[in-house]
Amino acid sequence: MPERSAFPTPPAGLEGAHLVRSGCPAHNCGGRCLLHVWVRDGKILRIDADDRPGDEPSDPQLRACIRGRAYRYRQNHKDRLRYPMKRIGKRGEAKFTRISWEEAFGTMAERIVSVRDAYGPTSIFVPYGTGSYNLTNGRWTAERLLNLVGGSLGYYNSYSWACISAATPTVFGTNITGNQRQDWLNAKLILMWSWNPAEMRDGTNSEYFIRKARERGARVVCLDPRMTMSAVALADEWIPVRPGTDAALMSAMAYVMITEGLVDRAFIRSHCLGFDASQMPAGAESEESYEDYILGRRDGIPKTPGWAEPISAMPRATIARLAREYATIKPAVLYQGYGMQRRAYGEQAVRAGCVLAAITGNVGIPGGWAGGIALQAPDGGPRWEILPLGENPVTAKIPSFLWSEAVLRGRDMGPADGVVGADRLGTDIKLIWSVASNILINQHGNVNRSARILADESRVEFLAVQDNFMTPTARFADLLLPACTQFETWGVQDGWKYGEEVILAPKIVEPAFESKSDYAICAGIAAKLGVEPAYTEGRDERGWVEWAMDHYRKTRFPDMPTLDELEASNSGMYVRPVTEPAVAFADFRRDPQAHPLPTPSGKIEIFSKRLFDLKRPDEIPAVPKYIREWESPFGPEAAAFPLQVIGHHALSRVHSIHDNVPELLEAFPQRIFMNPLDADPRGITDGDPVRVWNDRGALILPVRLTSRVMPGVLAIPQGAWWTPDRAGTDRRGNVNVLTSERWTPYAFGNAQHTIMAQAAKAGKPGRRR
Amino acid sequence: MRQLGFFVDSAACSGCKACAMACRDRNNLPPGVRWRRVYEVGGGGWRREGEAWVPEIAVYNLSIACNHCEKPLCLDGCPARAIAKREDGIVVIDPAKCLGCRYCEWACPYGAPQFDEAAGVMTKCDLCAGLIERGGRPACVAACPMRALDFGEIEELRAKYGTTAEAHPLPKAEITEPALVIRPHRDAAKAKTAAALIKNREEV
Ligand code: SF4
Ligand code: SF4
Ligand code: SF4
Repeated sequence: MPERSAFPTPPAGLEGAHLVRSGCPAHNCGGRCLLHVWVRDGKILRIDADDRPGDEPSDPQLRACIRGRAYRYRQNHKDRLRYPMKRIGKRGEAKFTRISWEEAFGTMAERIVSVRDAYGPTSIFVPYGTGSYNLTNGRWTAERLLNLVGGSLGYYNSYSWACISAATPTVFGTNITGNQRQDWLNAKLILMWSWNPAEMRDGTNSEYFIRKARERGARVVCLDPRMTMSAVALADEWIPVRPGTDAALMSAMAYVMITEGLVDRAFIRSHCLGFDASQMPAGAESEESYEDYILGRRDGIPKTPGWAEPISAMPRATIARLAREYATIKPAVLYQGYGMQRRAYGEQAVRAGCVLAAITGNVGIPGGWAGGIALQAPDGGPRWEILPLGENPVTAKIPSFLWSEAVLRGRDMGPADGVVGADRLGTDIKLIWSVASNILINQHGNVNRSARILADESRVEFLAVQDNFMTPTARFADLLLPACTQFETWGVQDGWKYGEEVILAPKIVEPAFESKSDYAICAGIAAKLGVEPAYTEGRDERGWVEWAMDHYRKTRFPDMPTLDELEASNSGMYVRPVTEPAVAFADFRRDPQAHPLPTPSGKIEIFSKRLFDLKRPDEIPAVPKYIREWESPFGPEAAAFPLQVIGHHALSRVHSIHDNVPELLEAFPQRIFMNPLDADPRGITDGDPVRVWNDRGALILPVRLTSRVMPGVLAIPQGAWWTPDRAGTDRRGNVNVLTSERWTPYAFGNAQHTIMAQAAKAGKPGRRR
Repeated sequence: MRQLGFFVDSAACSGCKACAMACRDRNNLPPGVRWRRVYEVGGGGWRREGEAWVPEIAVYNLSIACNHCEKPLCLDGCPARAIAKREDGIVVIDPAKCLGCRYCEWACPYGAPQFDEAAGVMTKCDLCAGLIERGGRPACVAACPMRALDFGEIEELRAKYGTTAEAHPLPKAEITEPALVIRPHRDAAKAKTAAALIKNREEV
């Protein structure tokens, strides 16, 4: 085994360097890994990764992905923002001039006060964004400050999980629906449905656990429009599904199970509600049950495999086989990924998947899986963002995706627009403080629209951006505040969605140039606002990490060492191995009377009375249904825009982060991925520059022809930095020039994968077509 | 004589390139110099069945560095005698002797020798000799999130993982006798009928 000591001697070429073990500055990638950072003279020279002996499934090494491996190129990047700057050109022109921190703090404080006094604190907004994800870097530092000076408009949900986090509780009453991952090793069948852990890293080692499960005899099937990295490396079989039709496929599987007597009737009787006419909730006794819908008793359309075939593009025989496999190979996991719920009626696919798990009796058993968002049993897993924010005097919250609506018409927005905590916002958003976020321009639906809205200085009167680089969002700033990276301040994280570890992110090098931690920037503004003592409570960044360690010790990990001890050991992390993985709903399974679910009925709600009472059956049905999307190959829009476009996650970036790292783009160049069957009739050959467009925008990018994406679908990895040419055509491949700002009916979530477009060979770069 | 070599589990490789980046970072490789290359092999097409689409394709990944061959054609092809095979079987290039003539690049059927423009010399994987001499593992092997790579005495690797040393479209093993064991992906069997090619040329 390699030498493993707290402070190993540096290998050849690194003489004089020292090793610091640190959490990867993970930025909400989905993983949480341990890096070995070699430092000399204040500079990061090399990054290795976790090499702890053992590497058992109970406590596997947290091996970094390519982005963690390449982090030094981002850290030592020549384009780091160096000084505070203020805008001198028109908004969005990216013309800035250097100012002092003193002036920057003063401007920030003055604008917060003046906008608050003119429009009220509800007009101030810190948008969603996950560009920094440790304790003292990240948007929460700003929220904490604003809460001390009147508060700001809040938001709920996220761009990742809006539908799945809203829909899962409609079935189970909770989002804690996942077994600990080690339990996957007990499964006999695993359906990776729209789930791609090898590429999006849904928890460090998720892909490795699936490999282990397969070695122990599990059959693994991947359902996805793309033959993903996971489909290649983890699955016995890949079955393509047309995007946006998952709920149709799930309904047809239910049809096969019901008509062939494969559902678990006993479990349904004792644990579920609304499956058939015999178990409808009070007040809805004569309404359409799930079985009614599947068998077509009311609408006259039985949801047969033959019905689903032209919708999903999956052969009816395959659908029937899949249904039989899932209903009979027990225990089985149907893991629902997140791509299929960032869609028009994303709520339906989530609910339909949960229902399949219920009617096959896979809920609450080892090796099974309830479905939905699957936060980890027994207690939801990581605590995520734990910096105490204080109380927000503004109670109103908007869905995270509706910020652009709140800029345009916030004053009239109320519960019909997803506002909670208030009947009406009463004001538009007038000041945006974007911390560690590239949402505003790059990651929101319909970039061209976002850019128009933000360029109008009469709407958002002041826009501050705090970041490491001149991102597309930063180009729209009035005030630009250079944040340091997570290697340059103290931080800590307790896993991502899964994980039984606390990973330290010690300060390894000094902040580059004049950059500061998000926390230090906020503390500077706090001083101008006269609230510095209340903001810092006398702590520096390390002091807050110490506080956080105590917090984790009290809430999750009683055995965890202190910060001083952890630092002295240079181990970088504390971990609690998982030898007996928790199973969600095990109590409920055993005794549903004694351990009811937190749903209104205490049961698994296949029929949701709460959804029924919303009285919007066409968009929010009480039982999960397939609903044709508002942009689809089956609608009139397909005449002009016949291709579906999906913006999948790629390993070259974490969302939009790292798009300026050439080393990562060399490994995974940004390309349009297109099936040769779509390319041939368009005269497109491999490597051609291809223009993709719809009513909202256009991009030009080289194409990679591949049979790994199904015919009729273009895949363009999301997150590339918006780079319009003079004609407004994006030249870097930002899929959001094509996406829409329209939100989903129940979750108010982003539906950014629901888009249609056309494609053609482009002219020479630099010329208009 | 000893002979060290690599094992590549192509059946488990996702193509994530953590191995290649670990190599690049450890060896400070400049752009375009790729000591370890992850080839995406793919071929085949789609069939219409009723109103459905059915893929009939073969896809897999091959993560390949230098195979420290038992018949290293690179060495034979070097007019400056800059390439040597060490006692432990590792094939190394001496940059002081290398003329930069790139003959080895032509000779090697695996594309392992990589030209460093700035230095004007040929470079390639040395199996992280500096690391393994200290009891460590090559950077790529330690990096793989799928645990799909291994290294060691080739005879031990063969005893553990079998003797397959080729997979379409890699060259026939008899040409250089690579110190390499491959566990083929299930699709490798249909690669030839699917006319599979390297699909990510610009990345390797
Ligand atoms: S998965 Fe995330 S945490 Fe792990 S190395 Fe990659 S970017 Fe870092
Ligand atoms: S792989 Fe190529 S460079 Fe390496 S030893 Fe064999 S012939 Fe020489
Ligand atoms: S790190 Fe492992 S899984 Fe990833 S490309 Fe390399 S060999 Fe394949």
